[in-house]
Amino acid sequence: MGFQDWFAQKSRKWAALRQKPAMRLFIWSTWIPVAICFLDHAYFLGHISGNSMTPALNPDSNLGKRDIVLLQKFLIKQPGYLKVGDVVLLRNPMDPDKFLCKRILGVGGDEIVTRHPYPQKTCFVPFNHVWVEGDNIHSFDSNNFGPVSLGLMHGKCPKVLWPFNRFGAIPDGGREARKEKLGYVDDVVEG
Amino acid sequence: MFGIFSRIPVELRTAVSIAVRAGCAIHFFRMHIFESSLTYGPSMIPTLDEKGDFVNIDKLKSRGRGVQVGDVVVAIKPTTSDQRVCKRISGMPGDIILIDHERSDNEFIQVPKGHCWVTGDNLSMSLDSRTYRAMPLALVKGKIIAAHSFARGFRFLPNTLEDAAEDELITNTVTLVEDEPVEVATTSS
Repeated sequence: MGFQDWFAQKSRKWAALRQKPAMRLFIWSTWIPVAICFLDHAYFLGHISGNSMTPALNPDSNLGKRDIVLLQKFLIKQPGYLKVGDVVLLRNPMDPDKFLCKRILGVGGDEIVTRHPYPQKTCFVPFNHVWVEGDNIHSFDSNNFGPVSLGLMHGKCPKVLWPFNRFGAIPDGGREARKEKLGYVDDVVEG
Repeated sequence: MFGIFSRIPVELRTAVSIAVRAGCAIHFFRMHIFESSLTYGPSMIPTLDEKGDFVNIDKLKSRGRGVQVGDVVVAIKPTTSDQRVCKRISGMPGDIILIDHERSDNEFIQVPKGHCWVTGDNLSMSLDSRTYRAMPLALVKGKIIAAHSFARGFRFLPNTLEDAAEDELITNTVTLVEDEPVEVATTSS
């Protein structure tokens, strides 16, 4: 028996084996890691709960329903990719198993005028860090825990997918917090 | 269904399909379960060599799940998000840490909730929490359980701080035992 015959015999056996239900199930299941890698590194969906991004996400017109957003997973940890105004999902620095959805108000190198719970009036954001805040004033954000590293970023939210009447880009919002854009002077010299 | 794909020979299609599936399976395994990769740098020198050491990383311990003080971990560097560092955890949430024993001001800091304090074993050549302060546990990507290299062979990386804690416990129990017999003797007689 030559190689050709041997190969043809093996091919016929393999073709017969492939038709068995258990084998078909196994062959389909080998696509599961491919799907997981796509969801880990390309795109995923994000459920937004809580009202810290109201009114850009979860507005009162939702009547308690939660928004579903598209999550972009690639490029987000690259230094300089995320810009001021982007909405991101990040891991909670105070609780590693939970996520926060916030808007970026300052990137590395900016000086930020902070809000109430933060101990200083202004804060310099180190390089490869961002300053995140919710659009709503009742929000657990960088005013509580300071600038966060880009390594905590989980995804960028470019689009709202659900509900359909607000399908599309996430509306602008949030305050301007950069000191140079505000013309803010923190030490007033009294004459 | 896909007219363009049917022009490609079936052998090539099968080969590419199997390569994609195998590659993704290996990548998933390396990301979430176990990884063995090469390290370099002088920051862990008595434990890991400057170059040529491979570390075996238990990725199930990512995000600080089940790590404790004294474990060697791999984490994303907070100041450079595309690099990873190997460090030893020297403080968990709530611990009060002496920032740098070589500085004259004895400044202490309490590690915040959800953070950890990491230092290299080679304190004089290490860029660690003494510079970038407490690091979020979410940046921890896994625990290093063993290392191997051609020069030093395979060895497990034990938790070097556990033994010290056990010694302390033993001395405490010894002092308790020394105190007790006096009381026992007085009450029983």
